[in-house]
Amino acid sequence: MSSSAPAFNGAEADLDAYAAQAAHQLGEAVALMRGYLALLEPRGEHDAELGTVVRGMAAGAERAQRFVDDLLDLAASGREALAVGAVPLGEALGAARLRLVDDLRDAGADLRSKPLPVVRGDRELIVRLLCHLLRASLAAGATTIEVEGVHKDGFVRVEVRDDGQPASGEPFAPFARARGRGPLVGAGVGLTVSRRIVQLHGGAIGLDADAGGGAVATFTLPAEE
Amino acid sequence: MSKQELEGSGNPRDEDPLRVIVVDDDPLARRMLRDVLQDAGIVVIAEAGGGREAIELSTYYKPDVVVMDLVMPGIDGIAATRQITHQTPDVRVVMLTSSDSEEVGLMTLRAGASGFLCKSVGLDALPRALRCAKEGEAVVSRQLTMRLIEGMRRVREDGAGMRPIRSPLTPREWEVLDLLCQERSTDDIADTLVLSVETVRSHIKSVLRKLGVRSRQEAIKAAGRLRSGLVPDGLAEAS
Repeated sequence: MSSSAPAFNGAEADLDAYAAQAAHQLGEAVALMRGYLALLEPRGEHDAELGTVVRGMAAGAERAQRFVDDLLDLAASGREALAVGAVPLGEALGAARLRLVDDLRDAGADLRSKPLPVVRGDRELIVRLLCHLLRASLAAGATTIEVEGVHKDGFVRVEVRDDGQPASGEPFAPFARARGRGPLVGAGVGLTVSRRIVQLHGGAIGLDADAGGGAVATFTLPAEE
Repeated sequence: MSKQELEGSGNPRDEDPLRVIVVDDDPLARRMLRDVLQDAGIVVIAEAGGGREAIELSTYYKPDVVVMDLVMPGIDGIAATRQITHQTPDVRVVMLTSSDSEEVGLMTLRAGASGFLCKSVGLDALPRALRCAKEGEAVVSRQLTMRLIEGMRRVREDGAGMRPIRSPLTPREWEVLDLLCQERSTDDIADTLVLSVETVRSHIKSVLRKLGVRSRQEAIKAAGRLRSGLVPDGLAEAS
C-alpha cells in the first residue's frame, strides 16, 4: 500500500478548533487531578494501600496527559509560525531519541541512523516530526527503526524504515490510528501532525509498506545550501 | 534611551523594573502577553512554551514573577508552579488561564501560586496585578477570596483536622494527636477510635518520638506549630 498525504482542508480546521477546546477542557481536569494526587502522595508513603491507589491514578493521569499533549499538538500544528534556520538532522534525531528514551527502552526498540544531511527549517518542529514518526513505528510494534537521508533536487529526502505493522486505511487522517495502538496510547494524530509539519516546510510525506516487511515513511525537507 | 526608561514602570515607587517570565504553550499568546507587559515597563526576561522549560528558566533567572498558563504539554501549570515555588520560594507565580473554575483556582494556590487570574479579566489589569504579586499581595478574584474565607470558617478553633501537606505522622497518628489536642484521655481516645488502650499508647509514643517531644503538652504545642506552618513540611521538628 502506498499513501501520500492530502492537503489541509476546511474540515480539518473545524477539527482543530474542537481539538483545542477538548485539550483545554481535558487538560484542566487532568491538571486538577494531578494536583490532588501530589497532595496525597506523601500520605501514601505511610499508607501502603493509599500509596498503591495514588500510583495507579498517577499512571492514569499520565496517559490522559499524553492524550492532551497530542490534541494540543494537533491544534497548534495548523497555525505554527516557522522559526527557520539550519537544522542538522542527526542532531534533531538525537533530540527526538532523548524525548522518547523511555518509550524506546520499554519497547526494546533499536534506533539506527547513518550520517544525516542538514536541512533548512524550524528545529523544534522537525524534532516533533521525528518524534511522531518514531512513535508511529513503536505503535506499530517495531523493534528496529532505521533513518536515512539523501540530497535530491534541493531537498533532503528522509526515510524512516521499521519492521512494524504496515499502515492501513488513510494513515494521515486525524485519529486514524493507521499503524495500530501498540504500547503507546495517544490520540492517534501523530501522522496528521507529521504531514502538516512537512507541508509547512514546503515538503511532501508518504507512507508505504516496505518490501522486506514493515513500513517506510518518506518525507522531504528543504536542504540547507 | 530605551522606551522602557522613557515611559517608566507606571509605578513611581518601583526603582527596578519588574522581571517576568511568560509561560504559555501558544506562541501567539506569549507574544501578546510580552507586548502588554513591555508596554507597561515590565521586563520580560524569558519565555517558556511548557512547564519543564518554565521550571528550568525560573531556577536560572530567578524572576520576580512568573505568568503561568494552566494547560500545557507534559508538565501542566499547577505542577510547574509547585516545583518553582518549592525550589525558588522568592519567585511569585500568577496563573493566567481561560478557566474560571474555583476548584482549579484553589488548587493553584495550594500549589504555591500567589494569584489566579482568568484571561477574561482583561490584559490591561495584568501589569498592576503582577506588581502586587511581587509586593507579596494575593492576586485573586473576590469570589475565590470568599471561598478561602469559607474554608477558614470551617476550621475548628483548636485546628483539629488541619494537617500539613507533608508530615512524618501517619493519618492515624494525626487522629490521635487531634484528640490529644482536645485534652482527651487515653481511654477516651481508645473509645472514640475504637482501638485498644495499648494501641493508643503505642500511637502516642510514636507521635512523641516523631515530633521530638517528651510530653503530651509539648506534642500539643508542636501540633499547633505544624498546623500554622511554622515548622516547614512537619519534618524539621522530627529531625
